[in-house]
Amino acid sequence: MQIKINNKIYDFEKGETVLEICRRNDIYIPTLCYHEDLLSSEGVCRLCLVKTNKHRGLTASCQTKAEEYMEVITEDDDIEKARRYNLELLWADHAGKCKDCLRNENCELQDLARKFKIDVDDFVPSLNKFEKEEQLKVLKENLKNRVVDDANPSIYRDNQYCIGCRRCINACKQIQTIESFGMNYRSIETTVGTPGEVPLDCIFCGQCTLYCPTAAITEKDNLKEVEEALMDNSKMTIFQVAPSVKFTLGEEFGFDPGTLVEGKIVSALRELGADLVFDTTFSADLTIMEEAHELIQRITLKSQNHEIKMPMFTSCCPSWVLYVEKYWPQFLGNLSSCKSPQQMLGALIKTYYAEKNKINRDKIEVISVMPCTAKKYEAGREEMSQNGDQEVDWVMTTREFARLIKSKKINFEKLPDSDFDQALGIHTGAGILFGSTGGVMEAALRTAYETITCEELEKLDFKSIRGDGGIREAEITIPKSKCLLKPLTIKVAVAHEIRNAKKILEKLDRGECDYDFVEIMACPSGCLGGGGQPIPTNSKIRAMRRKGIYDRDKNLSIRKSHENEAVQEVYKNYLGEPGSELAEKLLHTKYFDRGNK
Amino acid sequence: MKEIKIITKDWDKIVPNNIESYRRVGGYSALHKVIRNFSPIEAIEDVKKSGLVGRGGAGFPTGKKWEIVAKNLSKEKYFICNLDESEPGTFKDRVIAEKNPHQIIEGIIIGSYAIGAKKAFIYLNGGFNIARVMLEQAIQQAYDNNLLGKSVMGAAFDLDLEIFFGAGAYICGEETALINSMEGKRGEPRNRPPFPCDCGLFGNPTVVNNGETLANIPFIFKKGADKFFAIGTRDCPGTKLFCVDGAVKRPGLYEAPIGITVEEILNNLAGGIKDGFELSFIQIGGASGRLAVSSMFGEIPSYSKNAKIPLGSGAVLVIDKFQDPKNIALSWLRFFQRESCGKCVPCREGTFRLKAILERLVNGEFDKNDREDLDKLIWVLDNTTFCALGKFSVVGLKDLIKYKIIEELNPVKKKKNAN
Amino acid sequence: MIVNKILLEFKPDKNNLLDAIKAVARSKGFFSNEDAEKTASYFKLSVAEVFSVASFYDEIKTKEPSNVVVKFCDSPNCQSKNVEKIINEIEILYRQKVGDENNRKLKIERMSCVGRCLDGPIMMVNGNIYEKVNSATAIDILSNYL
Repeated sequence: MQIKINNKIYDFEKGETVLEICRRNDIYIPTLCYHEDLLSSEGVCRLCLVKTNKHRGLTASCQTKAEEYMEVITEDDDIEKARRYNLELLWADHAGKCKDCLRNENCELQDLARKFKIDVDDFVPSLNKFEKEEQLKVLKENLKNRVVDDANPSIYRDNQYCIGCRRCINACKQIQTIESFGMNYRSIETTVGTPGEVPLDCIFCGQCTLYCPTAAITEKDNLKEVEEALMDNSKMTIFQVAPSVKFTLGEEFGFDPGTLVEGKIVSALRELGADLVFDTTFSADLTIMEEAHELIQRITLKSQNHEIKMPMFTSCCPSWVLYVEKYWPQFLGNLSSCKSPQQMLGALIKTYYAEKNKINRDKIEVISVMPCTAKKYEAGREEMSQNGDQEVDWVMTTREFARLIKSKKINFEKLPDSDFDQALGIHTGAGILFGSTGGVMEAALRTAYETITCEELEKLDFKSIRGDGGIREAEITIPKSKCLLKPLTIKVAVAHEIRNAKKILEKLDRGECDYDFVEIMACPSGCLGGGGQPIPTNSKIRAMRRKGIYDRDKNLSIRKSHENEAVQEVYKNYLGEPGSELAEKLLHTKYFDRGNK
Repeated sequence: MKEIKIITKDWDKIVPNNIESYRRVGGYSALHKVIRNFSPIEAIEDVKKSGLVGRGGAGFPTGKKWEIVAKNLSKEKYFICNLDESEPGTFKDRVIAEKNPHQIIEGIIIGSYAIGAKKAFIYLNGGFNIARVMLEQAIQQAYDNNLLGKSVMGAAFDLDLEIFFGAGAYICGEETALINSMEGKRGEPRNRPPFPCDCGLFGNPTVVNNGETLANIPFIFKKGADKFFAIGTRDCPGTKLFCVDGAVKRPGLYEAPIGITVEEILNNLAGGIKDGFELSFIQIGGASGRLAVSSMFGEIPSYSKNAKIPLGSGAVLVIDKFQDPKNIALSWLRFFQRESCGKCVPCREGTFRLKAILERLVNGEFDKNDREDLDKLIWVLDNTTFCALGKFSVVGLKDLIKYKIIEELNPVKKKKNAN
Repeated sequence: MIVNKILLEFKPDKNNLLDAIKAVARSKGFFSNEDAEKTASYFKLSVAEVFSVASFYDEIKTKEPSNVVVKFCDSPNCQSKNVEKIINEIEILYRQKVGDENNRKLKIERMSCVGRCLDGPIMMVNGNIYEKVNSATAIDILSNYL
């Protein structure tokens, strides 16, 4: 089918909107409430207005389905006026606030205001009569309706920046099925908010922060605390960097998504004053050791007809853990008792590493760089401590880290590559995979396979669980071997996004679930699509990040967690073996019924 | 002027919650005729022949609306009577429901029969307490008399009628917002297309008709479509209920054939301007209505496409020169700003900013900047909003400017570019 | 619990949501967060959605209202009958502006047309309609409530 846009003919499929066709063909139409990841933009921002021969006046291109013989114009005086005036109306509440805003230089509204050269003062009666501080008060009568939510460790909300695009509502509902927010009130008081303005109490996955075009919802910024720690000479700052951050931080400095900037990250942290820089990918391998051990235990007990909760679910995703605790507490026993790599490394740094190097644990500040907002919550959980001292002191998301680097005027692009600090810095390919959905599963299978069979696994790639399908399943048959008397089939599944995890839990609830081991990541495509990652996000960007991760895995010489020499050393010299008493104490955790129902 | 009554005919003889008194003046004889002698398609043909157009404000041909839904093959269809009546200055649908609820019900039953609906609703403004009582009693009486429920009047036609109560939002008078509120959602308008006739309540073909429109239906079948067509104008047959208020000698609710001029409404219906008062302008159609100044006394308000004064809801507010037109203008924007659903940027933000500018106008702080912003806001509200409320909010203002009624709002002369 | 009893009068279909919310709000004077949670649970909807719907409509208050709520219609018809003067005098007398929410005892609001234009100016106090008010009668009526 064909449509004419600006006097040129374009093909389209039935059901496509004019906006989608234009985006596909690089015809410029500004939008704010539309996002390709989300279904149904509602046509509320009115920036995508166009003219067609089938409509009187202006019509929203995101709501207009293309028809044969339709002729569309995307640029003329009226369309320009429509865009400009509506931007001016929005900008009236945001003018003058950019300097201290977390989204400064990465804000869709700011970008559009600059592109259309929107005057700061428009639509604000006599703004220039007032002093700068007064102006903020004059700007909008309903700063009296302003709600600031600072109550949780992960996500910060300030609805003075809300433009009512509803993307956060849609993301939370469609991707995570949680529905933390709704559109509340009417008229000028219309705003996105929680019911009755209660503090946000969700799973803190931070997807809402990725889809918000302005600063209405952002990560909780902990840079003040991080900088204080860095400046405190009495403290030893030890940083750890999550696997996926190495493939995404570069986006904040002009690199393509998926570019490995690991070396520059280490250099940047050292330049900021870090005493030590460790790689969370190391403890990802450690997590695999413990988790594979736990899995084999459960499978063995089940095969001996013991009452054992199956399937076992991974537990390194704190949003997923919160989801089970709040909505499906009956399945807490199915969660692996393993802590996440962030927490395992924090625990080991403040015990093994501190003891080994005779450092007082109170003097150590462990700061992690994470793709994730929920990690801030996780670090503060009571169980993630020894004797009242948290294993991880502060968490910086990828975005915060980029802001910190920029604020110190470090020229990231020109940094040389440096290596992580040793001891707790070596990692394998398996650990790197943690950044992607399916990664934990693959890493665990590699180790579980070799542990169960006592033989080498030659084909390391479990391709059937890669990709970005919502739920991927596989049956892995482990053949007879010197350690395995008869073949063992393990049924596994991998899911990302809570909407898919929910389907698996519903199956389990109905008694129809025969998986042995399931990996769940709350964020789209796993941690590489995490709530703390660079903005913008879309499926193309996530695919590029994923490719970077899997390419790196392929190119590493060691690709099995149990072959990590540093991991082997920690067990030999300290923990003993996977599942030992000390390992249980430091590397395992427990969960609580936080049921809302 | 000969008094022609279609809607208010025999109201003096009717006790509202007494079905017998309605029957005694021929009530439900139209329904009887339709059920016995007309197929649904034939009934629709007659409504089309009558030329009746919607009395809510849009003026859409009623027969055509019914036909679209009747032709739809869907098994599930709905008929909704819009009694939300929230347009400022309008008090007609409520009065019909209070004075002769059976008249509306008869129109609903005939309409449901014609389109093939088995379920009908009255969407009633939540504040209409008396109308509620009248309608509830009338509906019960209709059920008791086999006019509702299974086998209406013994025919193979079942119909259930229920009242749905609004919860206070002007925008819910707009049919897609009305349907959304009935579905348990925020009363925000929907994108059109699809229109309710194709995809309405719960996604099914739905007719939404104004209460006054339906009050005309019994007459069309009792006396005949031709008789109805002969009254009023060619484009807009029939009569209209006018709600006349303001600086007139006899404010009140009046029925008169469409085709009546502005001057006739003012003088013949309402007794003329109050002694000692001088006319400034007349707003016809409610807060979203266009203005008539004295040079337009000969105009005929109607639903015709080329009418200089659209009838709208039929509200007629006569503003005299003692009134400050700035206050009136501000009252329009206060209303539309408050009633904006808040969904789209231009209406939510635009009505807010425009109200602020008009407040400055009333307070004497209006300056050149405001004048420019006013034009921008009028344009953006007139052209870029999600639904018609944006357009409504600036109709009166545009006419105030056009007729130079407020000096500060007089059109700005465009400066010629120097060379 | 009273709220649960009220909810049980409605089938938990979404098209009954608005009626249910109104009924609960009527019985308690306003629709609280707790009410939203109970309603959400009954209708199997999210609390966010229930609150989103409830907070849209004028007849449903989501915050506890002041003891006395006085509303004046400020639509064009009542404007032409000088309602603005009455509003100003009430504001001056009670030293409070329209919309101020700080006084538990009194809130002054503007409201949209209720269709009683011929009997305007219209004043509503705690849901009771008063017709043809002027400054004196408005102050008098209001003082009986306060």
